[in-house]
Order: sequence, then structure tokens, then C-alpha cells
Amino acid sequence: MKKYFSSMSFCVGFVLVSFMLFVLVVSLFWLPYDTTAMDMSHKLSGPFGGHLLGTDQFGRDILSRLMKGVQVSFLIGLLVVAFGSIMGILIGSFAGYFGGKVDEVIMKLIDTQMAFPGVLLAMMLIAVFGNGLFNTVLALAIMSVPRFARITRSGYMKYREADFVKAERIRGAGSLRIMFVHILPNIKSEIVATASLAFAGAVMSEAGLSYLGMGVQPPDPSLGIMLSEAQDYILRAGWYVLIPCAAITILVMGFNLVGDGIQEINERR
Amino acid sequence: MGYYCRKIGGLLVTLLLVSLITFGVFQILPGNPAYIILGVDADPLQIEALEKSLGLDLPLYQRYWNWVVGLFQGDLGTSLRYQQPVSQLIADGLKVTGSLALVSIILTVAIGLPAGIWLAGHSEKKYAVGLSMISQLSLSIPAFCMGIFLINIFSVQLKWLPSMSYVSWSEDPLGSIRSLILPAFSMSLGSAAVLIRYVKVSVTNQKKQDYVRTAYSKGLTSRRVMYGHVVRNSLIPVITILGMTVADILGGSIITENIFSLPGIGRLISVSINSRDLPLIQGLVLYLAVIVVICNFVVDIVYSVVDPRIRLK
Repeated sequence: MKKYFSSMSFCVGFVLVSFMLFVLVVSLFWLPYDTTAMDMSHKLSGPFGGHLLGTDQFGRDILSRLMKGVQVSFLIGLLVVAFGSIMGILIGSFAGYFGGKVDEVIMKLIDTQMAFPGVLLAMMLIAVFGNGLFNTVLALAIMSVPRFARITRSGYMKYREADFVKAERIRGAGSLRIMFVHILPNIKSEIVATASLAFAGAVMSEAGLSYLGMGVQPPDPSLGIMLSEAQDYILRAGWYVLIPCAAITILVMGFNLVGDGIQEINERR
Repeated sequence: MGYYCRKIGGLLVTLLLVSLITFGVFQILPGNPAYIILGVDADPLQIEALEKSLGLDLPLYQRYWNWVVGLFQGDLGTSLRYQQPVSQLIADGLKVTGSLALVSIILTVAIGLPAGIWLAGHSEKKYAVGLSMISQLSLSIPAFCMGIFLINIFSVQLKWLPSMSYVSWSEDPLGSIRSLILPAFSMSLGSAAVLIRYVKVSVTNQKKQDYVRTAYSKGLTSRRVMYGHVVRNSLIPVITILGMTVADILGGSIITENIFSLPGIGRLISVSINSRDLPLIQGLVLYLAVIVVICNFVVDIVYSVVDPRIRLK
């Protein structure tokens, strides 16, 4: 852990992620106001009044909604990374370890999936299964599988003929044991870096989908929904747009920097 | 020759898989599509008529075959919402998205290439750290945030550029470019950040090569070495990134066109998904995926022409 702090990217990312984690932990125990309570007499009031970050078009407290939105983002990010990494690591390790025909078929499928650009694949799945939190997670997780599969595959290709693997094979260890007990721990840090980048990607895509009305459904607050609601009031209440934007940016940038920092240190080794 | 045959074979397999996935995903739709379109309490006769017109009474393989045959004849079905042929809608949208993508790619290269080359020549720590922070920031601000702020600054406050209005190229070329600058800029910022990094790494690696030392010892100026030798060789890997940028920009256009109300493919996608216009979604998804696959194919071919060593690997 300590060695990673020699990377500037990692340090800055660590600070940003810690800040958002702090917001998350506080929000789990305490919110300044109810996130859906409306107060029509205080619509679009500015920051630093009775409400620290002001109120929205229905007089709802922006800080509370933001904190709840951060919860949603973390939840989606974590679930997407969990599902995506499990599927990706399984697929990637079989492709990388066995090589040959297995690898060819798997990589062809992965390449085909990469043909659906950006959030298109997620939107297609949402069009079929309908929107909502679980379907958004599923769609984004499937979208992140190629990332994990590729990085795992290249790690396995590097180690499958390594001396320690040959030694295990001679000792009679089975393929599955070699794959998951001996090789997988060696590519741990590459996977963690990918997970961090995938987390940032998931937060960004979720915000985009919610912005288009295809992710989390109102009245649940999500950073993307807040932004799409806020943009109509940009002239009267610029801060209202700025706040969800800043939250998304800090979250995405934090995880991107942490991921980049880990990659940087891995390459330096 | 063998290399090209393999590549073309790969292309055909990928296209087949893409068409199977696009077709298959919309077949596992829970419930009967006819009910989804007409509502649960629709007249059974209407349902039957719609099923017939959608070809839902045929077996699955027959439907796939009809669909593929239709594709080759340029027939992607009829949009339920617009009551127009899907191919016509795509062709109209493509004019907008195509010009948006073109302007974005030009901007990406115009920002990314010089900045990357400049940074490779200035490897001091303060520049490196500054660059990585700026490029991280531009990668992390979502395109829709960027879009909202650009509209607010340049259209609303300064009134320099129009927003929310698309002017077609044939009507007014200058106006068309003006209406595309803001959306294109908001999309190209992220891809320029990626390009800068790749150009920088690529140029830095090339500068360590022996031929650079030879060029210097021949007495060439550092300018000649840089632009006559290093930059030309460093651009080879950059071609790959440009290919990937096309996919990113097409994916990004879905959200960007919605912010700027541009009547392109991206806007059609979100409209078709929200109104569950299945033939239109299917056509659009397939179309975008095919463009991406063909772009990647072209990149591979260009790559092998520029760097023939690749064919031997």
C-alpha cells in the first residue's frame, strides 16, 4: 500500500475518493433533511442560507439529495465492479490460461461486444429489460466485462509458462488450482487498477443514463437525475447545476487517478 | 495476402455475430412485442394483424433470415413511432451525426497532436504532473456537464454561438459549423486528453531509438530530427487511437445530441428507446455497431500498410 503513495496521481485520487467516502459514510447515518420533503416557500434558495447547498425547484434540500445520490453512485459502482470483475476474471483466465481455440472464440466474442460503442449496449439492454436500479447495474456490469477479461487474459498469458506454474504442474496441481490459487494473486494489482477505472466508468455511465431518463427513476435522487432537473434552472440558479457536476467529477476523477496511479507503479516495477 | 484474407474473414465473422446479437437481444424481450406496442388491453384482432406485419408468426430462424435479406436490400423495417422507413430515418440522422463526428475528430487531432508532441519535448516534472491533472480533469467531467456549461457561457452569456439549433450544411455551411462547434468541443475534450497521452508516450519512446542518435550525429537540426523522423514514426500507434476515438465519439453523440437538441442518430436512439420503437432501435444499434466494426477493420488495414512488419506477427 505504502509504495503507491509515491505516485502523485494515486495521492490526489486517494484524497478525492476519501472525501467522497466520508460523504457516503455520513449519509448512511445522518441526512440534514428528508430527500423528498418539499418546501414550496423556499424554492431555489441559494447556498449558505438555512440549507447549506440551497434548495431545488421543489424546495428540496440539495445537500441531502446530493448525499443520497452519492450513495446510489457508490452502490451502482460497487455492484457493477463486483459482477463485472467476477465474470471478466473467469472469462479472461480461461482464455489466457488455455489459449488456442478457447482463447480465439472468447476473444472474438469480446471484440464483438466492443463493437457496441459507449453506453449503447447498456441502453439496448435497458430497452429490453426496462429501467430501474437492478437493470442498470446488470447492463453496466456486462459493459465492463471486456475490460476485466482483457487485463486478466494478458496476465495469464504472461504467467502460464512461468517456472512456478511449471513446478506446480509437475507436482500434479489441477488447472483450476493453478489458475486461481497460483496465478491470480500475481495479477491482483492489475485487477485492482482496472476495478478502480471501471468504477469511475460505471459512475459516469450511470449519470449519463439517468440524465437521459434511463437509469434510476425519480423521485429517488441520483447525480444524473439531479443534473438533468437542474439544467432548466441554469440561469436562475447556476450553483444548482454546478453541485451535481462537481460531485460526479470528483468521484470519477478520484477513481480514475487511483487506477492510473496503481498502473503507473505496476509499470515501474 | 494471407494477412488480408484473415482480416476479411475476421470482419465477416464479427459482422455475423453483431447481427446475431442485435437480433437475438430483441427476441428475448419478455412478453409479446405486439402487446408491448399496442398495450395489454388491445383488440386480439389488432394484435394478430400486427404480429403478421411484424412477421412474429414465423419461426425464429426464418425471421432472422428475412431480417438479414432485408438488410442487404436496405430495408430495416418501418419505425412504429415515425411511420417512416428506418433506413430513411437513419440516413437523415447520419448527416447530422456524421458532420458532428467529423468536426469532433478534427478538433481532437487539432488539440491532441500538437499538445502531445510539445509535451514529449518538455519532460520536466511540473509539465508532466500538470498535464496528467488537466487531462484527468477533462476525462472526468461528463460530456453533458461540459455541454451545459458551454451552452451557458458561449450561447447564453456571451451570445457568440447558437445552441439548440441545427443548421444543415446545404443551407448555410458557416452556420452549420457554428452550430456544431460547441457539441463537438464538449465531445472532443475527453478524446483529446487520451490522444495527448498516447502521442506523448509514443514520441518519447521513439526518441530513445538508435536512428534518432544517427540522425543527430549526421548533424541534422533537432527540428529536422523531430518532424522528419520522430513524429512520423510515432504517429503509427496513434492511428489505432483514432480508430477507437470514432467509436467513443459515436457513443458520446447519444448524450451530446440530447443536450444540444441535434436531430442525429444519438437523439433517435434515446427517442426510440423511450418510446419502445423496436424496429428503429434494432436498426440503429446494428448500424452503429457495423460502423465501429468497419472502422476497426480500416484501422487494421491502414496500420499494416504503414507498418508492414505487423503482417508477419
